[in-house]
Amino acid sequence: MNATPQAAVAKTETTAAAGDARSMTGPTTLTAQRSSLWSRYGWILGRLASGVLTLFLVSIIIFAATMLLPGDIARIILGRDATQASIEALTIELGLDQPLIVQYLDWLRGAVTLDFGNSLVSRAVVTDAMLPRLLNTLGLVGMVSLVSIPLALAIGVSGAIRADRHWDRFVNGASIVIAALPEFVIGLLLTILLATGLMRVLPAVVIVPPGASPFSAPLTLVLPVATLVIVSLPYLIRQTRASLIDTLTSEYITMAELKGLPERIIVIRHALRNSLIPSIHASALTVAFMIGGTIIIEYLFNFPGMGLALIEAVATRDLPVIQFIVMIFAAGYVILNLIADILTVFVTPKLRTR
Amino acid sequence: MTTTNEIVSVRGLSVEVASGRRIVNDVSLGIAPGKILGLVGQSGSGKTTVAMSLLGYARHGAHVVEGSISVAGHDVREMSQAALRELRGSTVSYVPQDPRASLNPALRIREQIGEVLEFGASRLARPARLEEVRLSLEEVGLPTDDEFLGRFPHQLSGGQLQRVGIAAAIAGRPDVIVLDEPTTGLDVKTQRRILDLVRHLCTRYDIAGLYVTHDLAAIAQIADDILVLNYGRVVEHGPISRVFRAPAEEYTERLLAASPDIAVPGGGTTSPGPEERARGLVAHNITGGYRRNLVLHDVSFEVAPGECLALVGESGSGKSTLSRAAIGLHHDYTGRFSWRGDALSARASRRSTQQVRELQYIFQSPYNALNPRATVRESIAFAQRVTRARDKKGSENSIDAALLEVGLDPSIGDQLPNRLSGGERQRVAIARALITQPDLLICDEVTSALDVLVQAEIIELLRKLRREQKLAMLFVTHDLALVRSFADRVIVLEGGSVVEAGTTEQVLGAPQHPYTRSLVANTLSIHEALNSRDGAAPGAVQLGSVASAAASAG
Amino acid sequence: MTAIPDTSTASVFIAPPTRSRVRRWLADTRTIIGLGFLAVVLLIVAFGPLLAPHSITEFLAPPFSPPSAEFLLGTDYMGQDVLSRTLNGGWTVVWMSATSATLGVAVGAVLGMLAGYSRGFLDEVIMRLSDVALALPTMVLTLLFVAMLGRSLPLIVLLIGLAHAPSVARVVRGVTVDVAGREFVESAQAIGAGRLRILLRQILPNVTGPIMVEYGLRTVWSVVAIASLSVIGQGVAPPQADWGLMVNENRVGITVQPWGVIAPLLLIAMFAVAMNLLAEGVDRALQVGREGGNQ
Repeated sequence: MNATPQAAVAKTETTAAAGDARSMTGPTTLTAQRSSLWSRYGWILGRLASGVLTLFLVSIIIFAATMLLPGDIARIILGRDATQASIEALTIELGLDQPLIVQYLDWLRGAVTLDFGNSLVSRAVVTDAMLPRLLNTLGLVGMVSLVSIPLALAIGVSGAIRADRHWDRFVNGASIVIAALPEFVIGLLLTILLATGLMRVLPAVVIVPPGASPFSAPLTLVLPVATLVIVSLPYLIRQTRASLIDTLTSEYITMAELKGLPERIIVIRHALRNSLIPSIHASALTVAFMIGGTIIIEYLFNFPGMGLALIEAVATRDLPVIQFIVMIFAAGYVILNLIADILTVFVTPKLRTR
Repeated sequence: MTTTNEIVSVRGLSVEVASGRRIVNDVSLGIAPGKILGLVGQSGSGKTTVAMSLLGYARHGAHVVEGSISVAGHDVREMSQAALRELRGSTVSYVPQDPRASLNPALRIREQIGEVLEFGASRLARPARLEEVRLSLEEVGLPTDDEFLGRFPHQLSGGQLQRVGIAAAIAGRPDVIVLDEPTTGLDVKTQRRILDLVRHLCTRYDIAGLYVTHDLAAIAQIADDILVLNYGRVVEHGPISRVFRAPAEEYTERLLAASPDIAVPGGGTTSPGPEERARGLVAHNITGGYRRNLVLHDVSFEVAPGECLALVGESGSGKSTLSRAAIGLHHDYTGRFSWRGDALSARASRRSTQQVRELQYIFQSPYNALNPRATVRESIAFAQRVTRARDKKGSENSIDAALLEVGLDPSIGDQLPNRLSGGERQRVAIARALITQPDLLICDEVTSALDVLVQAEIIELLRKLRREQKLAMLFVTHDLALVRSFADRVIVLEGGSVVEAGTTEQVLGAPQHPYTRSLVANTLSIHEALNSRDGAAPGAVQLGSVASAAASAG
Repeated sequence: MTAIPDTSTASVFIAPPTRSRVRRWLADTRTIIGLGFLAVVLLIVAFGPLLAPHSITEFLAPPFSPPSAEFLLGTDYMGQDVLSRTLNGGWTVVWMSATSATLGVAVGAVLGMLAGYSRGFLDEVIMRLSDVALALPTMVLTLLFVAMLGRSLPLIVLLIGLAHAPSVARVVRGVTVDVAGREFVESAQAIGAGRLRILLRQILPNVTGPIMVEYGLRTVWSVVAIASLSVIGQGVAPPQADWGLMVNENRVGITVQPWGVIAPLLLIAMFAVAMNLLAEGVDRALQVGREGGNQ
């Protein structure tokens, strides 16, 4: 949910990835090239393995958190009036009398096969009940990404090309401010501006009849989408800008100038081709943080997605639902990173070629 | 010396930076077609600024304030940005210092050579461009097949990359080439080949060359004239043989005196006996490297007390790994080191305080060898405390004494390293080693990051320490010329194995192993270059494989 | 300007934050704005309760009354004085974010330095944990544990602090690896200096800058997380006065009496923006020193 992670994290993020790549690719002399074909796929496989490991660690954290729940889970499920006998029966049914490790492995088996059990509140199968919520959130994040990623890249590039001019300074200043603002601040300021006394042009919350898709009422989506777009811009803008400025000061750009190439060619062919590579990972991280940011945005605008479901489940201590949602959030991050890794390999000649 | 056929003519050039400081002051030069002018100077002399001005290019914040720059009839100072773009690549081209950084990692070789012809004056269509790219590659002795053209920079060796840089520079058939230290970082053999190639291309196509370097030997090898710059001013300007044989200026004389020459004997001729050697630092059958990647194969050597043993080899020969293993920084090896007959632990932290005090290490880069957050005095005091090397008079005195010993004023002790010059920092690093009163110094390429004059001062300091304190040294370097004037004995490493060992005069004066012979033969020497000039007609430089490749192209 | 052997350019990667760098930081307009915002917030936190004209838990006027002479910012959903609650509501978010950032940076910096210097197993663990920390956003992690253990402010501080630690460790590790590879560290190793001595004397002084930047950034994100938790009703509990909680309580009346939302909103924003401006300023001041520091 972190509003917008700043340069510091991202820098280590991209350099860490580049560092891994370098160590796997090894020396680039002709003699060493035979092994790098293996290492290209080996590297992706390594990243895949590390993603799986991350999810495994997340699953342990989720399970451990569940174990911290004070009191008897069976009693919580059945309520205060339950008889001792029925509690014991449910305890055995849920395997709660088994050793912890057995319980964990059972749960993990369920998680891997997307079987998280039934909601303690609605009694519905968690995966079924959550699927429409998941799709809603994915739709929201997808719409936001389509707007914010190209926008951020364009603003970042325009700032870098005219570094330290007025536009660049304005973007920089605005980025620092927006990056620090919590999502709800931006969301509510937009609401006050566009949905209240000042200008009543938009509905303040998403109101959809149960079962209907929020996407059937496009006007209600404007505020949540706009908020998430604004929230997700600064990080990617700053990454893109910093990367392009860095590239523009490199020796091969000076060399291109000394070859007498037109400025347009220098920027497009020589600079962007290299500087946009780190933006792939930055984009993936942006989307990942956006997913986290949907929690508060969905709550604020009453958007029926996963984030709102999480808040509701936390309020009712609906364990299986909480476990499912947390796991899905983590999986989203891992998948996005993996996609970014693969894309990076295929646009970086040094990683792609023998 | 102004002649009418000069194609490059610079008169009274002055360049200032934003602060108003003049970095180039009243420089004039001229180059005739087919001739090469060597522009030599230390870092900060303004030599790159002068060279870049031929392309109408000034680094950020610098601008030409006076003088005229005429290249092939164009007044460069008066040209618009658009006109300059036309000029660059097709009339004047540039060969950079570091080809690996100067080639775009994301573009194929054919694009990077061909794009000079894509814009600029020629504007060739794609097929015609490809033909020109092949011709240029052939000219510099590189393959011309599609597979090679489609390669990315990371798929080439350092020497190949520099040839690609030269191919890109000649692709536009320029009248003038500016070469900015193009052989820095290349091994001696490749360096020599690149120099021969440049000489050949300039002569053959009547290209005027401006060769920028700090290396007098390279200039003696390649240039017709030399221009010596110091602090932005011309010190001396004239034909190579005159300036090198009879320099008119004291500064040029100092530069020449400071440049070690492999052709000048002066190294040790005697070896200490076996018992003598065993009392010093001994390496027994060192085999090691990084995990499975072995970089040292069964290496043994001895450094007798008071003796200077040079450990020479090119980059990748394992010489640095070996010296780091000796001091206890690299642990991944079998075999062992001993000192005064006692075994040395592989890790410095497990060695006795006395062993640590007696063996000291000087690092290559004076810029990184000192903690940027500690003053000079703090850095030396840290070494003193860790090794418990306190004398009875108290620490202040001996730190001052160590600073004086290396030729620094003790008042420098309160400075942070970033206030010091490279030479001063290296002296501080030496003082930090001397504070423990060592018996043996391991010097790892200690002069390679320094300018020639500073290098000579540091070498002089090391000589003094050897003389006065009877310090033994393990002198690790790739610079054979330096070794010949400095070391008693030499061992030559190739690919992690010792290929030749003996007294300096034996090994460098009459090398036996083919590898040593090739190293010695390819190391540039001012004396040899001048002698071969006298013997041969001007311009006719010996060409190796390049000549035949070029001939078949012509 | 001239061709100098390229060792020199890499030499001052981590420049010492000398007095001139502090001066440069203070000369930055954005730093001044940041300090100004921070001062406003801290003054309200310190003296606000003394200045509050009304009780913070008393029904004084009809809910969502507009601003008036008596109630300068109007009343909230319970008819309580917005101004008084605003003046009283900053303490929780300030102490919680400061504490969790301190916790996260302290743990993270120690782990990061150890991992960056020793490499090996700890290094691996930290890389994994920071991946987990990124995969489990602070908010998600906190909600998970709050759901199980119940709402508790110290628990939230602990969770947010621990959630920061791996990421801080990763940043500090990166800088430490860079410093530890420098020859001055090797020179200390070569004279047999111990690990602790090298970490404290040679490495720590060179990584304090990035740690300061991290501290600022982590405070920003702690503010964001803590205020957001209050907004969704999982942080401070009513009837206490808290800016995040006020936003949540008065949200329903935003169309008739926006001041109940705007006042706390602006103060939260000022605090977060102030810390970000200060951290950015430190980062910039460090960056400047990275070039041309040696001549």
